[in-house]
Amino acid sequence: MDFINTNLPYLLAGISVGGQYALIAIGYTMVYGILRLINFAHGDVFMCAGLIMIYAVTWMPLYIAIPFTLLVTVLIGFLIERVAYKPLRTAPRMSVMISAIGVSYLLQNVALYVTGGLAKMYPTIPWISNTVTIGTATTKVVTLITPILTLVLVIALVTFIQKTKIGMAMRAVSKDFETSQLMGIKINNVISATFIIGSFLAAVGSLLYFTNYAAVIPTSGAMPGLKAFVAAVFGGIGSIPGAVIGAFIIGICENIIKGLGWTTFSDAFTFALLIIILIVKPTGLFGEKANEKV
Amino acid sequence: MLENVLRLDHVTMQFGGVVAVNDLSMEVNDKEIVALIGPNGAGKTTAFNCITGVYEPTNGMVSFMGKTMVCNHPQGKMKKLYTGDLYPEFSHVVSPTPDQITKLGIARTFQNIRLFRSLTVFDNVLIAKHMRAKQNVFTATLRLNAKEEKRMRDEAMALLKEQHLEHLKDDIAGSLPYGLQRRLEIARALATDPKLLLLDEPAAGMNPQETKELTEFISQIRHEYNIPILMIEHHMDLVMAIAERIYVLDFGRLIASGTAAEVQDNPDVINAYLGVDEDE
Amino acid sequence: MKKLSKNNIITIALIIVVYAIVFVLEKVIDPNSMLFIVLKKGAIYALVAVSMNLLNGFTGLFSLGQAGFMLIGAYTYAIFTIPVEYRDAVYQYFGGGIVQFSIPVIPALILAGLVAALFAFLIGLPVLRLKSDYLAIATLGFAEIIRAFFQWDTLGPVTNGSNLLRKFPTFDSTLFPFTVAGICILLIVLLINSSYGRAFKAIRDDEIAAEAMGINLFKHKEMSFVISSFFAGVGGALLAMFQTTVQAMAFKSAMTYEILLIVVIGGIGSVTGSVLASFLFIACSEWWLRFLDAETYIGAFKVPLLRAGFRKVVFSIIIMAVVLFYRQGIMGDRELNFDRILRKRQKFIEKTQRGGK
Repeated sequence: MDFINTNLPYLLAGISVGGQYALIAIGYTMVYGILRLINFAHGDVFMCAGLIMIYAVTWMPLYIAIPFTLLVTVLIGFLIERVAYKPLRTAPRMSVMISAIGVSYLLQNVALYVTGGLAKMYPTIPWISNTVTIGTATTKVVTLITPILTLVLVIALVTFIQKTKIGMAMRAVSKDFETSQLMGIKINNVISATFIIGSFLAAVGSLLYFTNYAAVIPTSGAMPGLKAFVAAVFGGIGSIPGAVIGAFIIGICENIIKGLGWTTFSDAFTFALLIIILIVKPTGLFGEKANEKV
Repeated sequence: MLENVLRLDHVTMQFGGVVAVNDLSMEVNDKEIVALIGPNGAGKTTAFNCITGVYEPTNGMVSFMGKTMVCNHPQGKMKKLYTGDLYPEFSHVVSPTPDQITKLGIARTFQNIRLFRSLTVFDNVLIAKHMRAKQNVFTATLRLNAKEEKRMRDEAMALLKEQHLEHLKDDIAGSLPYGLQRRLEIARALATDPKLLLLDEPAAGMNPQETKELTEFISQIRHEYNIPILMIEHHMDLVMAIAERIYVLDFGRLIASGTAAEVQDNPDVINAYLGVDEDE
Repeated sequence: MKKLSKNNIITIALIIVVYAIVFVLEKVIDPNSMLFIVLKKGAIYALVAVSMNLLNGFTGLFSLGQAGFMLIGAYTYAIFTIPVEYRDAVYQYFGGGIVQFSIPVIPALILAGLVAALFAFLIGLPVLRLKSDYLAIATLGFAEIIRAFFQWDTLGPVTNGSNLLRKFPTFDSTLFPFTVAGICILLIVLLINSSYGRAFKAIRDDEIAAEAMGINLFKHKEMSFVISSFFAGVGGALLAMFQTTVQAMAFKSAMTYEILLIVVIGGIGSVTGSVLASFLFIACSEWWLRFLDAETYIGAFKVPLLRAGFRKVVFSIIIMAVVLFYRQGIMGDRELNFDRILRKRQKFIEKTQRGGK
């Protein structure tokens, strides 16, 4: 009980961050599932969502700013795919990954230009920024909302993928890109839909994440992005439930490590976990195995 | 001289529930051309992959030049019976990797040509000499052993001449016409100084004229290099013309073996294979 | 002995000319000129880019660990060369540190490479069995882990924790990084053109066929990885000398990305491409595009958009354009070859003459 009492704040923070990572990780895992691409720019899309929100609230009331942020982020994700990835559809995988790194570089530099290199304070969103006390821990409402909202969104997404036509197309494309093309699936629409969903969830994640962190800088997206990616790999890349579970595990472990006073290693731990899983079970917890034909 | 160059005893290869090769026993004798035939999906390439170390057979034994390379217990799962006492010089090579097998003397080509497409014809052949070169990364980088490099180049050049490819030596392998790519792949395999050559559908995609040339080419190789050849082939003309013995696989099982005439008359084979083939 | 081809003679002559020009420039131009900063940093980045190209372009291993190995090189160099009398000042929070000796610059540079290579060897054992993008992410992960370790307070007596390392010997002359990087790049070129280089390229083109040619995949991948990291380590040490201080914070994955972009701009699989691209990249980002960062007035008209940071935006758009529309980069996978240029010129002349008639 003592352990729980002293670690409750970290545990709560872990669950909360885990949920936020999960929302980003879904974008990684869906894109990887369909394009076999590590979308290095996804973390930066997440950062952009944070910045857009900051600028949006200075022009418009909050209840418009939030949907506006979601919409613009979705648009950014959609455009990135159309401009930077679509022309490389037939190129080697390495080229697309390099393009993703290029987009990431571009987004960070644009953010640097727009913000003038200053950390921008994230607006306070009423109610979810309020503090509450649970047991020994004092935290913001957002901490409690995050896991719930995450689960609701994930269930909605899984239902969407299972029940709708476009969801079925997504599953087909992730199984076999070429064959599904031959079966008349409009591959570009499916890919766009994937990017739209991924960006939308990243934008929701950014609302929750930055409410806890107060400031956004151009590189704010890099670390959460990488960690969410690790979560996706950990859960078995291509698998949505895997990404979510992986994200919660990473979020919780990371914060407990911080609680133990090993803050320097909280990032390193994530990567150590990545390397261990890659070596022991490269397909992750729920991934599928693919064999190369000789 | 050893009779059996290559010998498979009860080799089985299982992928999950699928038995790709089932209890296959066969042998290739010295200076012999042996064909492995069978309908698509019969497990021919899988058998090749078991021989060349791409896969480790689930069960059975593969020996080469009288020495056991892979031996898994016929009943137990992946249990290695092999001990080093029998062949001390091989004690370290239990289930060798493909590169070790090439070094032992089995060279192969691939069904879907696998050349080093961005390299020149000459470099493709020269790479085969790398594994036996007496050098290390320092002497090679600092050019301390120019003689060795020259020897490799001379050998590769000689082989290109023998195969009448020397006029193409500076061409990029990937830009060659299909037939020449096949020829180059065989030349590259020969450059490893093999004691046994495995050809995986050498005549695939060739027209009758090209197939005829290839037939001559293969029997020529056997005479010039004095090595046995095991090949997978669908072109019955080619198989009947040069294979001394034929093994027929169907659904992973060996259904017949013998000379061309024997196999042709075998009712099982006609059912499984030749009957279908005529319709093609 | 081997006869030198026309191409080799021209290449050697050109290299000599370049060094001579640098030598003369140093005599005549103000040593604080931007030019020398570009040349120094460009040479260092050229080395690191070529070492990355050895891995990504010639062996086909998509590794993103370069910044990590540069960090190891930079730290190794700094730790072993800070003069003993300055150690108390540098390691003020760690009682002067535990390394109480220093070694000369050249051995320290080699040591920097060796330590990076040792780390690469150990990291390579598990990660080189992974395929393409998994390898990329695992090496990226290791680079981050390395960075965390070097900032760890417990290792402070060696690494100075998250504090700066400084007061180690540096260089003044541009010729120093040019010479060190030049020798290293020469060694890499010799390696690429050796039997081992051919084996690396075979692995890049087709792993399965390479294995069927008797090439031990793991051994050769490990070799390429270790050698690449050795030179990244030396490059890191040079970067430390250039910057005069070292801090683990600076060696983020963004640095690896920059180097990767240089390799791409130069052409994956081209050494001369990487070298040219490094100088171009550094010149653009540090010098030529500077005007974009300054608020400019033409008469009373304020040129829009120009202010701090705009340079980097333009720069990244240029890079994206290269990645998307000019995928071959400057050189593709070819090298600067004077035989070919001369032949082309000859053809061009013939063509124009024929056209003239």
